[in-house]
This record gives sequence, C-alpha cells and structure tokens, in this order.
Amino acid sequence: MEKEKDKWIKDVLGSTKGIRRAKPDAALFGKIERHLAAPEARLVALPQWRMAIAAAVLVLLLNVFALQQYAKNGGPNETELVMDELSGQRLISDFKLYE
Amino acid sequence: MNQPQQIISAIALGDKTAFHELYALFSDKVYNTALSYVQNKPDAEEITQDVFVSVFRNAARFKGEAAVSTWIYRITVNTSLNHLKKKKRFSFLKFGESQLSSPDFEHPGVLLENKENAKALFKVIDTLPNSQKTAFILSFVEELPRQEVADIMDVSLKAIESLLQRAKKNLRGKLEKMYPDRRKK
Repeated sequence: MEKEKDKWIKDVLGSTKGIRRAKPDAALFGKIERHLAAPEARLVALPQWRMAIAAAVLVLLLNVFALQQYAKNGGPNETELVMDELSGQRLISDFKLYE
Repeated sequence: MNQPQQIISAIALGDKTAFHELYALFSDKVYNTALSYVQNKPDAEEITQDVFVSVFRNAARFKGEAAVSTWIYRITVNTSLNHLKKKKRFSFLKFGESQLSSPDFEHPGVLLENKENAKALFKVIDTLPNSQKTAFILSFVEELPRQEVADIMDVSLKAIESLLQRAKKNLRGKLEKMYPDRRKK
C-alpha cells in the first residue's frame, strides 16, 4: 500500500513532463491591439481613495459626536436663552439702533 | 528574424510589426505560465493581454540588463500573482463560493495518460505559497533552466533549490492526504 502510494505521488509530481504548450485564442492579438489603440483610462491610486474615505469617515464621526452631545444636553437651556435675549437687547440699546 | 532585444527597441519606437513579432515569439510562453497560475482559460487570456499591453507601454524603459525572455516572464509572474490576489480580495462578493480556480483544472497540453495525475497536481500547486508556486511552475511546468528561474525571481540559484525542495515536500504532504480519497473513487 505504501509502495503504491509513493508511486502515485511520484507519478503525480512528474505528470507535467513532456507537457505541450497550449495556444491562446487566435483573436487575442487583435484584442490587444484594440486595447492599445483605446485611450488609457486614468486610475486613481488606492492610497488616494483611502485618504478620501478616511476623511469622509472622520467628518461623519465628528457630526455624530456633535449630535450626540447636543441630544445629551437637551439643546440650549433656559439660562442660555435668557442670557442670549438680554445680550441681544443690550446690543440693540448700546448701539441705539431704533432711536 | 530579429533578436528579441532589437524587437523591443523597435517596439519602443512604436513599431507594430515588431510587436506582432514579439507576440508570436512569446505569447505561448506567457499564456501557459498564466494558465498554470489561474487554472482557467479566460483569466489566462486576460493576463496575456495585460502582459503584452505592459510590454508595449514599457518597452522604452527596458534597459537590457536581463534577457528579454526573463523580463517578459517576470511581468507574467507578477501579473498572474496580482490577478490571483485581486480575485481573492473580491471573492467575498461571490457569497462564499470558491471561484479562485476551476475545481478540476485540465491543462490542455498534458499528455493523455497523465491527465488524471496532472489534475491532482494542479489542485495542490494552487495551495502553495507564492514563491514556492512560482519556482515550481517555472521549473517543472514551463521546464525552464534553474538559472533562468533564479533570474526571473531575482534570487540565487541556491534559493531556488531550497524553494523547490520545500515546494515538493509540501506537495507530497498534500498528495498523501489526497490519496485515500483517490482510492475511494
């Protein structure tokens, strides 16, 4: 059995001996010529794509983070709104816009 | 017929006849090498096309430091390995189907009495690491002299011998595991 197995393995390893070359399709050269005649497509290098994707992901994460913070704090609180109103009135009266 | 070096110089000047001459000289070698890697005809033809397009576009850069055949084989090996890498990268899109190569590849040039054994051999060649695969294909399928294989792979002759030894050991181990399956058939 071992002998038989060894013989088979030896035969398999030597099975490409005397192999003849296969021929590609006869139309292949014409295809290559047409390919060469066509304008060359400009490829964007993979690192450029990676940078663009990384930047987009970063912007998205920052937006998600900002929204989360906004939701957590429940938007502007009462004091902030009153302060905003007061400062607005002060600004108007300081510059006497409607007098 | 011109020498390959002269043909490359003519191609660098845009000579289409020289390009056809080079294709006639090397297309079978390129196609068969690619076929051993990808183990299917459409992909091997795609690689052959890519190799000749690359040769045409880079002919002016060929310095003549290596033989033309070494240069073309080197482009073929790199293109084939890149093709396999790309296919593997996108294989997840095939929903788990392994489409890297045909399950039972039959090389069209193998002698009739060796067909079954060669099928088993190509199946296990496919599992070898790239450097061992390249050394094995160039030495035993393409039947190139060891020195040329070393030049193509840009390593020493000793390194090639060692790669081939490891490749054979790996292949033997895998074939041993395949043997019981074979007996069941």
